Amino acid sequence: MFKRLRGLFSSDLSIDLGTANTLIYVRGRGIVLDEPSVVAIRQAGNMRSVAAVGSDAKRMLGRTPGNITAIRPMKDGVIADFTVTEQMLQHFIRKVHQSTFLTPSPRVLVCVPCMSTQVERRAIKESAEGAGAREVFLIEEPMAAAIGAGLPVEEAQGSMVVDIGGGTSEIAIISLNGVVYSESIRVGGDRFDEAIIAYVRRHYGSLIGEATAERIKQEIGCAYPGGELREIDVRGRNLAEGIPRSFTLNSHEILEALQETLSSIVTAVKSALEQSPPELASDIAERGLVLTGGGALLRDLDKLISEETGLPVIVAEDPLTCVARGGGKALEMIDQHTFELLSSD
Amino acid sequence: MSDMHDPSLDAVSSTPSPGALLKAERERQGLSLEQIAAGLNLRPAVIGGLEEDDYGEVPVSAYRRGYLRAYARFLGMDDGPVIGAYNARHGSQEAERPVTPVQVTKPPSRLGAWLFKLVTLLVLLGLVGLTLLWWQSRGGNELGGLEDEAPVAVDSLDGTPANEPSRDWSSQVATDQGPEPEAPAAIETPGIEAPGIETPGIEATPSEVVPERDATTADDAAGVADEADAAPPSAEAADEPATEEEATEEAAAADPRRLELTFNEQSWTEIFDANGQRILIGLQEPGQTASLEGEPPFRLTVGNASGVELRYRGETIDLGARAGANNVARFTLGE
Repeated sequence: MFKRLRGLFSSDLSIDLGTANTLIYVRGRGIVLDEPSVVAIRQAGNMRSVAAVGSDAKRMLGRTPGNITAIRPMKDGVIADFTVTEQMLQHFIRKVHQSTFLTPSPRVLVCVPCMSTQVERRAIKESAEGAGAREVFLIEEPMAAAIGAGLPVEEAQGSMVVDIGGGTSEIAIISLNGVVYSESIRVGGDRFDEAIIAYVRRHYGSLIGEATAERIKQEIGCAYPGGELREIDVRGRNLAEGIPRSFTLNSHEILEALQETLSSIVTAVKSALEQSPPELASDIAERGLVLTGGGALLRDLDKLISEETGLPVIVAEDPLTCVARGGGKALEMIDQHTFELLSSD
Repeated sequence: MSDMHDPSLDAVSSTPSPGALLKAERERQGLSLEQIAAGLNLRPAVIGGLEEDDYGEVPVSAYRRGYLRAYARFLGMDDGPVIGAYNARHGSQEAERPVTPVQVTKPPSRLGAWLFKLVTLLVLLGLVGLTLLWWQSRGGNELGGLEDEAPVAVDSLDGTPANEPSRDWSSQVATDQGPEPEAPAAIETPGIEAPGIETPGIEATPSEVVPERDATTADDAAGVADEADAAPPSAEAADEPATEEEATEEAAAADPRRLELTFNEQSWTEIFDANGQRILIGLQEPGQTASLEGEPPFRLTVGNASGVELRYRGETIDLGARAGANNVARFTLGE
């Protein structure tokens, strides 16, 4: 009863609870929050308190003293630390509601990876409820991504979407508002970073942090040879000497580093095409597949997939926010009872 | 969708169309349509369409814009101006693609469902209300266990109508000797007794029943029924003229309209007569006596039955035997 009353003062939210970034779309206002899914926890004796959330916490990643730990509560697209996720969501939900008079109690649509288990979905649902949500709806990420990219999901035509997120890559073939085939591989942006870290350690004998690896990936990373050669100066701790050293990396090296990870994505895409019903496969061959998610920003990834599959590949506009925008569009439809996009439980 | 390309719009906008931009760049690089098509894995017709700003091949705007950007990047151009030119022409016509449900069949009316729920609820409430009313009319929270004994009681009473000498009003009865014998007929006693009245023999039955009744009340109340039922025939068979007159006198002495109660202990008692008149109600204090008059049969509810003496037609009715486990006697008298 009281929750319902408070609900009058809260707006419906669509949350893209990603491994790397959390985006919140508020009904009627658009995307209002885009912050890294990082929480810094301060430990004082037995008391654990939240020191920072989001970008502030991300800056602390790998730079924290002993009593603070900056953690990413999401791993591989699902919740790794339940309580921290709950606190992070609570923080974000409060943040998007300017009014501090009442504790917000919005209806929330959360995107979940399509291959997540019932337990994982339930954990996401409960943590959103714990964060103050009045009602929680779940939508499968590739479906939200396809809606966000503007694909005609409700038509009797196959649309293929490849959403490369921080922790997982979701590949789905969608027709008539339903997922015909979906595949989720636990390979994503994080895996790219790890591959770069491993490559640098192997070839330069130096250790670099995750943040640096991410910067390298964003600035000179590419997925297909033939582009212009780019270089970047990085500093890392030399393992042999034990002191920080500076060295230069170029895009070819990064391409080499990412090769294995990229090939697993390409393999998954190919296997999705293999599994798709022939009618839908022909639709996809005609119109191509759409890349969304932060991974789609990797230079020439579309070219690589296009080359490997022989299909047209397009990158969605503003791929980072596709899922959140799609969730937002789905949110507008929540009140329609015929709406079948929402996954049951 | 193909009519998106409106010539009037072309005239309005002075900027080059996205197709023209792309075509100029392609020709500058000396590439053929086929080369572009092979690079993008699109059909040459689609590429041609993009260059001519004819999007009949690509009905969905998301793909259209995607192809334009892919084409621009393939040529090494910045995709910003191309998309900008596209938006300048078609952006306004492309409302954000709304999400629509697939189903066109209308869902069942919510109103109907609500109505149905409401009616069901009302019916349920009505049932509950009726049950409560019925419960109330039964006289509250008494257990129904005594109901079975009620007919037994009536039977035994039928068998022993007026055999006990009524001490209190025997004198009064004696004076009214004349009308008294007619009394049984007057109360319209049911079938079993009716034939008995004609013969003098039936009047004798009480004399035979008396000892039996006394014996059985001592033993078992339930047993009374059968034996009392069995008694009349045997009494008829006896048919002794000597006791006949005495018995008729005694029968006449008991007024079936009177009840006499003596309360040895506190007791809550309620008595209705045949007209539904409540002739006694309330908590009776110990030592109290009550003499009541009304139309038989009487409906009695006597609490704390073991502490109450009831006399009817000059006979003491054993309330203890009629009481249930909670020591409340509920029965009908004088039917």
